[in-house]
Amino acid sequence: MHLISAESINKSFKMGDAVVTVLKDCDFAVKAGEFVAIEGRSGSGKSTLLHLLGCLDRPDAGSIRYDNKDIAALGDKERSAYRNNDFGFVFQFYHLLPELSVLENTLLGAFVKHSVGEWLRVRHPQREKAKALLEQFGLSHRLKHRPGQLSGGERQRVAIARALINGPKVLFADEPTGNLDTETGLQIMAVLNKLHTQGQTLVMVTHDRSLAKQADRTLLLRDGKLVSP
Amino acid sequence: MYKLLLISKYLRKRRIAWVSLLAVCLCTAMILVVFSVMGGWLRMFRDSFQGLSGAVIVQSQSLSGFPHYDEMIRRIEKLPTVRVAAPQIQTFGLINIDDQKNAGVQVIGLEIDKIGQINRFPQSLFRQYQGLIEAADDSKLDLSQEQRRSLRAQAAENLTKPSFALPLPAAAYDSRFPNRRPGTTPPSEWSGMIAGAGVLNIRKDETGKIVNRGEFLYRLPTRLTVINVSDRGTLDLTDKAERNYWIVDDSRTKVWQYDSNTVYVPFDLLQKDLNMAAVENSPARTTEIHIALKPGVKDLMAVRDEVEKIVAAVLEEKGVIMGIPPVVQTWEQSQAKWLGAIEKEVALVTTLFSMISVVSVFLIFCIFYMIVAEKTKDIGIIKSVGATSAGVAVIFIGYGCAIGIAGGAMGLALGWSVVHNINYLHQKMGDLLGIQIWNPEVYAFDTIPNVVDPKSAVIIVGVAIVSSVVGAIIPAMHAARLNPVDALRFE
Repeated sequence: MHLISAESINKSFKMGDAVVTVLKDCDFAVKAGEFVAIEGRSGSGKSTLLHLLGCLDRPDAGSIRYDNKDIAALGDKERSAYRNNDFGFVFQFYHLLPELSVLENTLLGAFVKHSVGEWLRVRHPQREKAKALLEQFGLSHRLKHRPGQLSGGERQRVAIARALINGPKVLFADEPTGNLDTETGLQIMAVLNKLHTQGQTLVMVTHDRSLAKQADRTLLLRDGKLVSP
Repeated sequence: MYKLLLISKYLRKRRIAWVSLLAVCLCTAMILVVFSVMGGWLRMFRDSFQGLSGAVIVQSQSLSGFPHYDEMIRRIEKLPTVRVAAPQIQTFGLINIDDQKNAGVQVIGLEIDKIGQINRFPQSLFRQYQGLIEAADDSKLDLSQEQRRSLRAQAAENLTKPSFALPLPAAAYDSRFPNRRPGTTPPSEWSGMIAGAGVLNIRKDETGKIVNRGEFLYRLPTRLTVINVSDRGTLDLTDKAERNYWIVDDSRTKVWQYDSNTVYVPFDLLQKDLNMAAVENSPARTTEIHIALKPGVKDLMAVRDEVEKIVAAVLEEKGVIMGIPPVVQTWEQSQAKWLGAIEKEVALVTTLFSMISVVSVFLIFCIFYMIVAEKTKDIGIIKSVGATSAGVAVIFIGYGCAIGIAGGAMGLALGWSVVHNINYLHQKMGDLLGIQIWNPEVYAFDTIPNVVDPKSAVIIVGVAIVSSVVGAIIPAMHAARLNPVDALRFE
């Protein structure tokens, strides 16, 4: 049984006067607990596919099934709820909020999930959960620091902690080591692999074949479609 | 929860938004000061003129007055809504104070034993009321509590029974004229006169201290000259009346036109001097009747209509035909020319300053548009963790609201401080820059209103908050519509 699947996905973008089709009748599926890597050259549409699967964008045509629903057709409120509760994102450039501390950035998903009244009840367990995540990633001494005070690797670990705060069913990682040096990149991959061994479903996009090989399954995005390499 | 967190973070960290905050603060303070001063001016006007007049007034349109006022008063006082009515004469004269000051003045003859029931004139008197209260409240004076209570009791009694009685012993007056001609009225038997504080040059100096007031005023012989006006309205400049008075008190109504050139004398004496007293074939005349109503009477127009009928009936019964009969008006109608002009000026000035404040809405719009552009990537991040478009809009609208609340509160504090100290600031501006904006001759009061009306303050701060929200709406909608993927890619 697939946890999330996409069928006949089409997506095009306007580039000036031209229309560029990046995904054409693209199919995809991942099972619970699986680690899938999507490989392809730059501009092949890997990130676009990830964004569509994670409800960050809508396909022009096709369906994306999750939780027995076509999530591509849902409204903004339902899609936002899936992004908050079921999916977690790790981006190439970390995308942390500069005004928030490490702890606050980690808790961002929890802040979105709970109203003010609810937060007053759940703040202690949520803070403990965030601290535990950050401790797991070796950042317990950085809780009050701002992103600007962290290294690239530390920021990416905070981003992973943020993605995990609400216990997502699927973790989407878009070139998670793309902006890091080799050694730091390996550290991040170690974190992701560990999560995978703990049962986390992981969909990772990368242009690095050596990283893609660490996944259970690798797919190549070519001519708008996913094929086996 | 994330909305509250981000609003508070942005409010504290985004310094560009402090410019919006300052704009809201200054606009709120500006409107509050303008509204308080202009609105206060209008309130002072209404309050002061109402306090110096009866609720309903019968007024002659000429200096010669109208007859049979005593019969009119008798019938008017029988109306169930009327408490008391009293005649008053208003004319012009020339005053000579101890041969040191000559001036043209407005002369009001009033029945002083009744005036306290008609209006608040007794409260304007210094020796008989204000001075006693000031002494009772002055902590620097060495007085016991009993003495202070006694002063206040004396003041309260004087409110109900003000008088023209001479305050000094007879010998103090007679000794001023030791060589007076036999057969003339002894100076100690002259009548008392109450003069406006400005007539006696009583004023505040640069430090705010009252000068030119003291017991010496009560030793100043004063001569009042009035011109007689016949019942046919003719004026004979050779038929003038001169009478000697002693100053017995000064009046500070805070209405400049009264305080600077009005004197008050006993009604019967002025009536006699103007040849308006009853003689063989001619009934007594007066120029005005002031009517006080019983507490709780709200429909002044209805009372006015009844009084008008009485006046017309009396004149008809007595066979008096007047080319221009006396006019019956409520106090508001009698001051309509002044009040209407002031109300229009208040509305105009407030509207103009409010329009200027609209600028702050556009300033907030521009600044928020810049902030949204700067925060595009943040909006993408927030949406990626599950914030809805509506939630993102609420962040920026809430941010605008927070700026409105903070700016409005600061503006309220600043505006209140300015209004509360406005007379001091005006004086300092005059001392330093030689500028006198508030001219009592123009604005009728010698002090600038310095009280903030709480209801107006609430409305003004409310409008500041609404304006800030309005300025933030379009940028907030723009932020809400941002595609999260495009936002994350934004450089």
